[in-house]
Amino acid sequence: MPSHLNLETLDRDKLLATVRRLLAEADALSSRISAVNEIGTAMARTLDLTKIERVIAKQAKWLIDFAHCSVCWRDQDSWHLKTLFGPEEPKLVDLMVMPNLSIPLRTGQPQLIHNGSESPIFSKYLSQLIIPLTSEDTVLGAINFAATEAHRYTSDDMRIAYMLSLQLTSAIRNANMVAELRQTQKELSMRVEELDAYGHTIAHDLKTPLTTILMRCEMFELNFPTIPEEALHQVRELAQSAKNMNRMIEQLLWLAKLRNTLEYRNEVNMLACAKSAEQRVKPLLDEKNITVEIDPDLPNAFGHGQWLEEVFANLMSNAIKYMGAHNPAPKIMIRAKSLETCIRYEVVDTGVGIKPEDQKRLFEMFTRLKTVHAEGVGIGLSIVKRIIHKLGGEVGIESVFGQGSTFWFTLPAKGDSAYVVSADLIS
Amino acid sequence: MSPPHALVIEDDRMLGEIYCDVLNMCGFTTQHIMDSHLAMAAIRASMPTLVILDLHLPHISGVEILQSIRDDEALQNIRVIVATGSSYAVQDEVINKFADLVLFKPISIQQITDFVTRMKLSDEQANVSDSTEPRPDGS
Repeated sequence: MPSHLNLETLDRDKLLATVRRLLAEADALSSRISAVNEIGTAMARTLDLTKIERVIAKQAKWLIDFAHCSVCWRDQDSWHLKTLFGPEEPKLVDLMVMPNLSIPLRTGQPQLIHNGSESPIFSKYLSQLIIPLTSEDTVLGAINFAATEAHRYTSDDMRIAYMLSLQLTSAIRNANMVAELRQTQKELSMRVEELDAYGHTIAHDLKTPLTTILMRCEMFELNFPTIPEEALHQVRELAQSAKNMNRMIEQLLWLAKLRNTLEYRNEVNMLACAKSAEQRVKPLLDEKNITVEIDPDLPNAFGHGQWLEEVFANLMSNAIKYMGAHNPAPKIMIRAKSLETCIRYEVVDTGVGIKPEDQKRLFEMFTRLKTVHAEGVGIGLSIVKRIIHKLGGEVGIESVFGQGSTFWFTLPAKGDSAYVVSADLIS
Repeated sequence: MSPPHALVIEDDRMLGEIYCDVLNMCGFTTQHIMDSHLAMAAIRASMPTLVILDLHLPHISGVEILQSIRDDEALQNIRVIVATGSSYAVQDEVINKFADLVLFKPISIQQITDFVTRMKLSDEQANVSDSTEPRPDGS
């Protein structure tokens, strides 16, 4: 309320008129404030800078009178002007000769010009209102309003324009951050793809020298049929190592495949899976005289057959590896329990068992326990973990050192159960 | 009769040499091509009975070479063994359609010798039936 008004001395009519005028002003201001909010909401709806500018060009006239409206953006080292309303103004902003823009852009202070400026920009307009757009002490740009006549803008107009600038800044910030995020996401998925391709190529390239080694070993035996038994033995060991290496490469390729594929899950005959896995490790079982007992009533689960056979094969070869050299009764049992929403499968062995401190690291990639001398690379269990997690289950181990181990995993009994992104039970 | 000729197209020198050793053992004369650019010219020049073709070659891929062989009327009778480290070969249409045999690395000698034995057998049978058929001109 203007201070020169002395309400005590005014007559009733004048008082009423004053009150009406003040109410009307308050009304106008309040509608401008709600218009600012509306514009803010409209800007927040989009993450596209051009669309944000379009909202301003269309709706800012509800807030402020202007013959010209523009925004200023930084483009690398220079500032550019984009006219949103009114005749086109110069696009390039020269901070040296345009003080009306250089002050807000350099200092972050708004400019209210009442009666013309020396600048070659906005020279047709006597009234100018230039509000910098600042985010965390950085000037991102400015929004400019201009009118032909002098003294067009008041400090109220500046406040309104300032409120608008806050909305605009936050819309720009959101747009920039989302754009940055999308870019990062794109780069990341490209990197993952590159890594996959890289791993794939390496794994396959390794097979060429591997073939050379294996074929040379075979050739050696063919070409020198009379070599001493000891030499033959050494060549065969060489070939065996090359075969082991091939298995490791296959396993690495398996791991990569697990990241790439989101296979369709269906009901899986787990008994059949376990039996084919047993067949795969049969030579090793026979070699170590290990007996295998698979529960003939092993229930079906929901998953992917080929993957689950891989799980059983890995768990069985793991059990074989850690059976211990002088085990009196080496045995592996495969059984299952139906729980409330899932089925728990167990691969139980009578091997050396695993110490609690080793259990933690067990499912991590490339871990191999030093308890006994064991062959093979430690990626088998991490394959198990990845498969089971992909299928919505959990994996774990119960073991007493010296008394064997129980490796268990759960799987959904039905297809409709929720996909569980499980926490790492082991760590 | 001169011995059958085989061409090995494999950019790895040592592996190519072993393929040649195996094929020599089977009675072939052999030639090892490491540069894929030279492959088609060598095939046309020597007209081999058998080609062992690596897929993952620099410059021109094995699939392209296989396609070129099958596109050329004069090269129709050449047997092609595709030798690859990549399981993707299973899904490749050109390979499925045109390769006589696909071998996945690591490859054993026996896989090659078995194929050669089968190949020779079927060629012999074809020759026998050719010679027993009366010629169209009656001679």
